[in-house]
Amino acid sequence: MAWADIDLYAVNYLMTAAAMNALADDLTYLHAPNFAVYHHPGTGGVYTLAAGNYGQDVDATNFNLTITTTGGPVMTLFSGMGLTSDATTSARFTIVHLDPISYMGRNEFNVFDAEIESATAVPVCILKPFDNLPAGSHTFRLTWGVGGTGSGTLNVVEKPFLAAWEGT
Amino acid sequence: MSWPTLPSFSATNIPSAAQLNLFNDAFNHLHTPVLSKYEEPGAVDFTTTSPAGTWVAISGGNYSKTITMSGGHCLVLFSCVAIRASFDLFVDSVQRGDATVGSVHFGGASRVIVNYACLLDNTVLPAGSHTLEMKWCRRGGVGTATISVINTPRFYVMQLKGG
Repeated sequence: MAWADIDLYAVNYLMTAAAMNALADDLTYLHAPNFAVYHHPGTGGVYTLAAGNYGQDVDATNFNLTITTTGGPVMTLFSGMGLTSDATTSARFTIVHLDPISYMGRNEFNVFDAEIESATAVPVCILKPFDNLPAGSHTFRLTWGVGGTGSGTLNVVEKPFLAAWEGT
Repeated sequence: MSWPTLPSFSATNIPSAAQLNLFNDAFNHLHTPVLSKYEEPGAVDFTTTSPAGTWVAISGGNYSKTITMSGGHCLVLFSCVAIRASFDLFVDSVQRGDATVGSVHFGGASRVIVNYACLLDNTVLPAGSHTLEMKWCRRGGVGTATISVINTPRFYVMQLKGG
């Protein structure tokens, strides 16, 4: 069911069955979850990235979610476990709205949501809202970059999770 | 208040008060935030020597919430400061992460903040009653897992869109 604009009521407006049903449909729409999630199955190889790579997709196929919104804000969430090859190498994670401005790949390595510098795996948790999004289709991706001399790793065994949903 | 089934109107249908009140109920349902939370009031650190993969309740089950869903979705947040510990969310006793290490963990001997968040949609939580619980165990083969209580461990279950 799609969101539909409600009639603007005026004095002597005749509330038709169609108008009532449109109201009911929009209420039902608001109650229905509008979301996309990817819950990694926990199998397969870890994600790795060598230092010097900035703004790469972690997984362009799976950590890449599209939802169709009605114009409201979108909340995004990532939870996983990451580490770096040494304690001076930095791995930085960002959830981006796929547009030409916020994408971290344009050498904006200093714009990020979470950073780890740890040779022992530590939690990476991001909860990030996006607003001023027009109604329509929007894509959100988990990206990362690694600085220093080593590499970064995102584990998969813990079943990392990415979600995007309209409304906060 | 549960989510009402909204009526479908036909051309000759004059809405009754009861039908219109269902709209009120729906608006109120959407407007009512449903938050179940536990913020640790204790002062004594929690410890466990439960081996990796043997998941036990935290603090006697205080990090467990039973909620009633109506087709919406649910945001779950947990955070604490811990040493050598693994954590995971169990939804109706089904574990979300890895059987041995869970969803989040830290194996070091120093204190680290542990954050966990997930969105549970209506395929995971269909309408009805559900129990969500954070459990923990030791990370690694030896030692004791600790939760630092002075940092106020917390567990939030937020039913979105009225749940």
